Amino acid sequence: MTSIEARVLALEDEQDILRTLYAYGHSIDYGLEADWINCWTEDAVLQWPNRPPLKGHDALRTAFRNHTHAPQAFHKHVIVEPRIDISGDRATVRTMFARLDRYPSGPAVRSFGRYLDVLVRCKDGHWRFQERICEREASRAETPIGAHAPV
Amino acid sequence: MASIEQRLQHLEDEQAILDTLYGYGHGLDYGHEDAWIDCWTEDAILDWPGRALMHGHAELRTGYRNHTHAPQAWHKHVLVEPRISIEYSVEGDRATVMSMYARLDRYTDGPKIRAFGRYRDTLVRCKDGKWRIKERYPEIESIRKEAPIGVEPFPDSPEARKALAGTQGEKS
Amino acid sequence: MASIEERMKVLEDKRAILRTLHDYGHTLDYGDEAGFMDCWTEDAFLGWSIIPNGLKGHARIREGFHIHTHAPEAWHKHMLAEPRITLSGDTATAHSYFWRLDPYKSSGGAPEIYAFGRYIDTFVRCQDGRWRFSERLVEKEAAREEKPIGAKAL
Repeated sequence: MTSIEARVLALEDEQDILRTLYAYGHSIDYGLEADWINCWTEDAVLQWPNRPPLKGHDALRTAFRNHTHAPQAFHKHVIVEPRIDISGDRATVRTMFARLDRYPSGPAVRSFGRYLDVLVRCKDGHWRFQERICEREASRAETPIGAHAPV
Repeated sequence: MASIEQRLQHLEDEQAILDTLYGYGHGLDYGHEDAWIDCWTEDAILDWPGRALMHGHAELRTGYRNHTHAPQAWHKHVLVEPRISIEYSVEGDRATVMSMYARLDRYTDGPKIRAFGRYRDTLVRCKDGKWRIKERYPEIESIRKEAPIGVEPFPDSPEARKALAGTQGEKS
Repeated sequence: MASIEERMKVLEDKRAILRTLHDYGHTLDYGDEAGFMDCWTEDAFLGWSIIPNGLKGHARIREGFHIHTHAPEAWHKHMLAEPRITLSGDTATAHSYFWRLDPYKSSGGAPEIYAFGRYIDTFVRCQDGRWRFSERLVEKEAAREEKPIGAKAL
């Protein structure tokens, strides 16, 4: 039988991983640069669709600055249904995402798809992305208000 | 290092806060008035942009009754990605929560997103142990002008908000 | 006052139920038949609105899985939000919101909301410890008439 200590830790790990998953969306949508960078390990890799992979904090920071944020553009990186599998200090997570944007006719779903993530427990105890692959499955050709055209 | 008891308490509190956040959407969308009112502290504030500010149970109840519910109108207040921070204190435990929402509605050509934005909430642990919303400041970031089936258009301009100030019972 | 053990169990049970709720969407959208079937008790009931009288038992639920589209022939997302789980010993109920996203031809392949509504679920803790659906009722409250890209002609 697993100890109470280990069982509490398992639940806490999931909560902390969720916090990082949510921090990604909130910080990119609202321009919280330090918050967003803090989601990644030093050598993390982010693979956005149709772009070369981004590796390490410097490349991630540049990408963050090139991305739109509120109030220049209002969008939402919505994630639901996280399937979290933890093995020691490493976790793989699959989530569904939808990105909501503003269009002249009103709010609409810009794209949807799946994130395939690897997170690791860092020395300070927090879980950070080591890898995030964004698989886009459907997207709208029209450019949203204030946002960049789709790549 | 926190004790097992404290750590467990924190996990339970996060769970209880989620229950209240979800109770808001379910209660509003399906017309569970008492369950919805029970999400709020006695002196709670709900400040919808474009609406008169609601303060306390009586005003919240009026606001609730003027809102649509199923089966008159089918909509969904979808809340996702709640970022919960809890502060424990001898004066009382409180939590601040930032979440994203999307409201889905029925239109003649199918379901659409009527609006999206963010909720900025403060919750407190009440004497009976339940976490209730003390303040909710919703922010609308995008809204569709066209009115959904069974629902009136939203007054989304500062002018409309001014005109509504101090009036209760405006149809939503 | 509940013991530490009892309180742990509540948190763990809710987490396990959440997992099954999430497994449903992922396995259906990506065509993981074994994963999908593992969400159901042997005699479970799945009440999809397009199937008259619903699907009762593993054999019928499997048929339902085969009738449904999956990636990569059709890309869709069964988005679930705001699950409210109530535990009662070895059974539980959950009410959640769903909204399904699909790409549409009339929107140039852009995603639109295919439907939204509510899932009304009943769960049972099985002998192996996993929580499985004994019943899922799907209440569709709004739907688009146009068929999404990749839909089967039924």
